[in-house]
Amino acid sequence: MEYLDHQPIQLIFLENTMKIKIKFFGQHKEDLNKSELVINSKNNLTINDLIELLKIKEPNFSKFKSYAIAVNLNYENSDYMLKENDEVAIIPPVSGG
Amino acid sequence: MISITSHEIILKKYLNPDNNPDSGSQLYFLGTTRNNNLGKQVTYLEYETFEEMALTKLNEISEYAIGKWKLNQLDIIHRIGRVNISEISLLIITSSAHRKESFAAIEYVVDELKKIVPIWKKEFYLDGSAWIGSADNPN
Repeated sequence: MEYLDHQPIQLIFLENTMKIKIKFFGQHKEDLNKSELVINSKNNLTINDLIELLKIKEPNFSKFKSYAIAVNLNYENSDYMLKENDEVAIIPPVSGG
Repeated sequence: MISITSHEIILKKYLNPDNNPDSGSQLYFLGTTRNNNLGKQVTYLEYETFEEMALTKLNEISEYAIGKWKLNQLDIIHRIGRVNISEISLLIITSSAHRKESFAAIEYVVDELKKIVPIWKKEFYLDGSAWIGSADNPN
């Protein structure tokens, strides 16, 4: 009789994480060399927290001094609490017209 | 009508004074590409947008202006992509009973557009390029 080895089962608990999509434009897109980034993060993340996270994930982001943040097409303040599947846009100073 | 287009804006396609018999004033504002900025010769511009949000913001601006100044017509057309010198990047058309309302509405729309609508302009020079409005840009 042959016994099969038990393979360890790896369990990943995702219930306390959420997915956030971040979009970059203009000078930011060029300097970071990307137009989009998806991050998995803990829940209870504010825009302020997200910015700090971005500075770690994308060191070049630290040099940007002036931008607004939009969530799901609306401008929001830095204390805005992000939700699962929110789409965040980093808006450099606009210059249309 | 609110529109963001990568096609050339041809003014005469939009000139239609017979369209507004209840208006005594029709104004056309053109934003055009200037061949110089801050002492540098500009060869052309490129505009980029976050289109979905830009359309949302332009619609908000438009709804407010139409209500406040009782406009019979308000069209905002913005071009994106490459825009050569002297070409139109922005066309705004207003119609109202009297001129004051149209003048005030155009000024409001242009000012708000330059404050909150996610559209970005990049200038190209003989010797390089720069994003305009960016505090992170030394140019």
